Amino acid sequence: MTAAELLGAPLLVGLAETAGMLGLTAALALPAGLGAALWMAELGPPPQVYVVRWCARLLGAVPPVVWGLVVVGLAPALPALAPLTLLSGLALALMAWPRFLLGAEDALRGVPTAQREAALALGASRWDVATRCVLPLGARAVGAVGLRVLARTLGEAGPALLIAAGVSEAPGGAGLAAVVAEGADPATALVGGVVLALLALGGGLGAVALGASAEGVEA
Amino acid sequence: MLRPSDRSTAPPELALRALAGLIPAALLLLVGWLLLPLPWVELGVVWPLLRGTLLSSALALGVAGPLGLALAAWVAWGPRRRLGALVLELLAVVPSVGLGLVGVHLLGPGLAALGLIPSTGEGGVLAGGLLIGIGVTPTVAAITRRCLTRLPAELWEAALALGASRLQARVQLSLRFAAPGVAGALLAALVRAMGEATLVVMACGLALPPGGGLGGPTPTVAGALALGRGGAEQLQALALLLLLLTLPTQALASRLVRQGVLA
Repeated sequence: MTAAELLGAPLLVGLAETAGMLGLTAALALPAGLGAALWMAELGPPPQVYVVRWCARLLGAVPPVVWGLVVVGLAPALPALAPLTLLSGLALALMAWPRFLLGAEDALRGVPTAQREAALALGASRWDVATRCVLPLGARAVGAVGLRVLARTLGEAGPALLIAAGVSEAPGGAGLAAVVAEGADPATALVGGVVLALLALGGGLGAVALGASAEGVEA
Repeated sequence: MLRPSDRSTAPPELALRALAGLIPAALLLLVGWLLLPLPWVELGVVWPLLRGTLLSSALALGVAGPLGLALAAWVAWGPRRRLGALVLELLAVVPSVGLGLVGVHLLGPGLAALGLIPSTGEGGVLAGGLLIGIGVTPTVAAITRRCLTRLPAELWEAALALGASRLQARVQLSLRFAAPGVAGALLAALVRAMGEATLVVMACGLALPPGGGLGGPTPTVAGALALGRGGAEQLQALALLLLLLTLPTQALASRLVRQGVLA
């Protein structure tokens, strides 16, 4: 088999689908997670934040395949013939959301208290402190958490496999990870796995470059 | 006088609060949706799956426990800590499918050739368990490290002042204070291990037609769920079973980790 064949259709198509899933995950999970994390770290009353954090920990522990089943259950309510890529991306976004939120809250809490006190002393409201002081100062750490969470979704094939089996009439494929996991064509699977691993390691290195301490790997 | 907090309930803040409120709502919806139809499934279907889950998770913990503790000790105390942190950070993003390929091409056939695991039957679950162990090692290491580094400096200095060696202080003080956290870390890793589907599907060769890959029809609950075979009701029952296994464990783990971090 030549290199051209190896790099041929299934691999490129799978990669494009994976990129789409990743984009959807980023578009849904990152803003929702960041907003909630900002509220939890800066604005919310502690008892309410405690409840939300407790629930987020449990949601973060929900196995990815279960999110796949949720999306299969939701599929009839979504626009007809939503492509498989979109459905899998939705499952991955649901999986990534609580994990990113917990990490982002941690990252925002890591901003030194003195910075908040300085802003408050200058007359800033709590909203101003949160958005104009804590958010810019914590942005790098939050970015690192985001990169790490996104990198972890790259290799997750469970939800995609379940959705492909459960919503069989949906067009499109379920991403490179599913192609690798099914392993129908060993050569494509091998190359695809290596590509995914390199992409994920790139994400991890990016997180390190943004100054990730190994502190938040817990998710 | 206007205090800063008096001006804080601006509309954008309410929006953020609503976002945060989605989290408990999502948890309730998820559990309710799975619980309400009271899905039922025959014990004969579930038992082998449950056995596979317990077997592979136990094996995974057996691998991840020592590896994770060693990695945490390296990152917290060892020489070249920054390198250790980098290893931990990169290990955490290794994709499941990548590990799965290692299992399919190297570990599974290798172990089977050495006669360490049967090449059919439960061999796939065993190879899967080992790989899951590597996959959840970062979880153990990161939480343990966090607990190990939270020891108040006064206690550490007091121990050294009383004549303890560094090793003694680490084992008798840091480890002891971190013990609940370490237990929590292991439980959190157990949760991830029980929910891991990708590796099981790959290591057992489940997605292939019968006879392909390592091992036969001995998957785990999560693996069977990922394949989506069987009716909707059976899948829902499997998902509910998975949540019953993971959510209480995670609640306990969070509690223990909090104790370990605050100690």
